[in-house]
Amino acid sequence: MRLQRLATRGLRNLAPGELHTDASFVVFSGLNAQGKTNALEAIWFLATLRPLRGFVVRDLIAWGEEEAAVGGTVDGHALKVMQGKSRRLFLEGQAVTQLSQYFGAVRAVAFSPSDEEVLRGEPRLRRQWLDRAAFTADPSHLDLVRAYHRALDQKRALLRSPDPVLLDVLDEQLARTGAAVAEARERMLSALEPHVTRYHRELSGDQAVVEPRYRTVAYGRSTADRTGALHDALQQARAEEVRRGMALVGPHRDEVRLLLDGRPARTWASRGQVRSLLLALKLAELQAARERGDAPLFLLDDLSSELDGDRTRRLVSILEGLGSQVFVTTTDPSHIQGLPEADTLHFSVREGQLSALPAAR
Amino acid sequence: MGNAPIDEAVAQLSRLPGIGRKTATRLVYWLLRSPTGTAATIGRALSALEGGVRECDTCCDFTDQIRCPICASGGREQGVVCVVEHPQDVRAFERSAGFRGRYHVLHGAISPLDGVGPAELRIRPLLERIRSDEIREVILATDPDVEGDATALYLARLLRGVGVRVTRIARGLAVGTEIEYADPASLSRALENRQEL
Ligand SMILES: Nc1ncnc2c1ncn2[C@@H]1O[C@H](COP(=O)(O)OP(=O)(O)OP(=O)(O)O)[C@@H](O)[C@H]1O
Ligand SMILES: [Mg+2]
Ligand SMILES: [Zn+2]
Repeated sequence: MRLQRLATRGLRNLAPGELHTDASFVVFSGLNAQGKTNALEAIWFLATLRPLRGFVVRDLIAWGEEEAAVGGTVDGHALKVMQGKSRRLFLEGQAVTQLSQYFGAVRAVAFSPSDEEVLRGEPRLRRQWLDRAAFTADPSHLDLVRAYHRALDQKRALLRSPDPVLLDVLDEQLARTGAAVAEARERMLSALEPHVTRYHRELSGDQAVVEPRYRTVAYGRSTADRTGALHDALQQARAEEVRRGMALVGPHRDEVRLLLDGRPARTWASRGQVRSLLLALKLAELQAARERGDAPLFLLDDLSSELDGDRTRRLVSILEGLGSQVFVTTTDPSHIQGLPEADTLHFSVREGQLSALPAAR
Repeated sequence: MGNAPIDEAVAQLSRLPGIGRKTATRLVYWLLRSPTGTAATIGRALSALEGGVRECDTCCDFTDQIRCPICASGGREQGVVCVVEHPQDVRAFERSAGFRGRYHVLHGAISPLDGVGPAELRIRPLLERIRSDEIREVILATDPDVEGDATALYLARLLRGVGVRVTRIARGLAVGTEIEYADPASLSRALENRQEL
């Protein structure tokens, strides 16, 4: 997948304009607070319709503007998103009515230092990360997760004045959608597992075995088995759920765990291990995509803080093998060793202005 | 300074769904510039809705009669009832022209988040209808979203053991597409490929 052109207007501090980005590697370099990450924000927003960092969509709009617009050409297809009070989407100049159409045209995977939270923070962040990965593999995962959470909210409202027949109905819905959510998550983790240890080893030199594990009440060999198991668990929890007025059972409580040599990385891994583990997970995601015949865009924020020269060189060579187009930000471009300069575009970022730099320094 | 009739008209119009203050203001000024009588004609049409429109004794669709034209018609199959959320859904199915049975309008879907439970819907008249008429099949054609599915599953439970065939329209409609806005061809298909619940 190749982003050939990127245009932005009214997006954070980026100056309105258009960039030609048709290269395997695209590097944004500049001092702090100039807009490097904002350039990745633009690409991520175009690809996922969400902000990259932990803020709300409105924060993408430049101060004093009514609307932010990001356009791009991906593999020859023109995409555009305009975000004001509401959002408008265009594919080949036509208004998009079905999100699945839009998401069929572009996919992206991102890594940034703040992702550390995914490993360290509360379980919800790991479920969200996994749902995001499953969505990249199959956009319909989003509908599934939304339906599950909607049914969950309905049940929470109902628990305030429970009607037993209606609770049965909602539990039936939750069992069905919840089992499908759990199954998709587990499938995603299994697709990552064979690659993540290898990438972690290559990036860190650490010989530890990495095992991603998913713990769910909706377990089983088939979707039907999972639905049955979740349904049983819901029935068993019914009395307590009603008593406490809480939805206590289901994939919204499932645990995504990462074991390093059998120990939970969350509490056990060093800061360096956490970072290389996360990067390894993202690379595994790209490799899993590659096995499906896909190559999402890869956004890599603030590379210099991650790895030393040798490891960066190794990372670049892994990335070359993955076939994804890579967008990197860095304060120090000399830090990124081993880039295939003939296939790399450099941009300097200064006060929101992105300027193409001459190739091969 | 404010002008009381204008302010009141803007306030009343902006109560309508999908109409904010800005649109309401634009509409009011458009009316003020229109030929004399325009606002009054619109006003009369709106007043006639109250008192003039009631729910059909049989299917609960809106009508100005005791029974709506579909229920009153001899040409419709009596044994099949298609259960929908809104009167607009009846119009959508009628546009698709494939259905020869009759309807039942619930006037909503179960949604505890919005304080809508079974008691808020026209479920009791449906049950009475099934008890007294010779109905063979109930087609559940609520929207294909969480609330519509919950409503269908709920009705299916109520109708267990009543001795009617209970079916649900096929999932062919894209997730989140409301019946009201579905195109006629996919509606016919969803109806044709309905499945036993
Ligand atoms: N909504 C907004 N409108 C205009 N400017 C904004 C908006 N939000 C943030 N900014 C500006 O964007 C700049 C930060 O950009 P960005 O996060 O891309 O920096 P960066 O180059 O990645 O820096 P670092 O190297 O520190 O990560 C800040 O100077 C901030 O003032
Ligand atoms: Mg940054
Ligand atoms: Zn009627």
